[in-house]
Amino acid sequence: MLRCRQVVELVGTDAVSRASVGVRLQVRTHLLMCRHCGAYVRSIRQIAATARRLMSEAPTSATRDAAREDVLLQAIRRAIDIAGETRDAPSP
Amino acid sequence: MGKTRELPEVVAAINRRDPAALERIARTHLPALLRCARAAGTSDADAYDVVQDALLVFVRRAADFDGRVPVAQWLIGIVYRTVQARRRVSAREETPSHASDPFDERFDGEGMWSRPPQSPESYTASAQAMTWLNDCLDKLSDRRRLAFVMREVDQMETNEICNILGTTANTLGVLLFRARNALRECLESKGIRGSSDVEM
Repeated sequence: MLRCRQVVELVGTDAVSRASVGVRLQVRTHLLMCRHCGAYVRSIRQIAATARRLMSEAPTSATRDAAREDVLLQAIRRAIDIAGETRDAPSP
Repeated sequence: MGKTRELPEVVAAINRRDPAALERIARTHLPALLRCARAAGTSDADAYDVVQDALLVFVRRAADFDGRVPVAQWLIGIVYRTVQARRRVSAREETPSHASDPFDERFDGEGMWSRPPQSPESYTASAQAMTWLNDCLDKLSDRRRLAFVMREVDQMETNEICNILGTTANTLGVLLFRARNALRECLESKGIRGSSDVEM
């Protein structure tokens, strides 16, 4: 039988996805019966979901800098032009 | 990531360095790339430099893009590699020891919970959840934060993340485990403080 600590280590390190079918089954059964481990697994999933929400909102217009974005895009356009000249140059 | 491969017509346009296509891609993905650079621990001021360097690599290497991953993911990988190369994040391996880890104190000698976790709803359902998580993410080491963001936010494959961090799947597991536990502990303590504030 797996102990609580082993269960949360298997899930928290993602090792469960590489574990044998037998171990995966033991983890699943344990999680159905143990509310503390259930709360742990739910918490790391909800933290991940909150991180995705947080990051999909950032960067906000407040943290973006239009002038710097212009400079950046100009540099990229120059690089694209140079790449285009190299491509269009007749081969020797 | 929704799609697992890039569309063939997009790959073809990138490979022939179609100027309109390259500029459109750079423009479209700019906000996400700035976000990645910041998540990797780059300051607001340096994030533009990092993203510019990464996009220049993208333009130079456009002919090498094979479309096996969506272009967005390819670009994110380049940004993280650029951050790594600039900062030379310590490649020190994380050992699986749990010395002085608050996680350790939650279990008894038998590996059973002695201080069980709070239900996550006590902090993730709070209106301040995002602000709290932002604070807690800031407290992580760069390497743990980078591993967490690549896995949970960008949902990158293990081998891709290992490649960028120069590490093994086992070490990545330890990094993720420590990041998740640190975020959990940090949020749980904020949730407890937050609810006691309300009661007062």
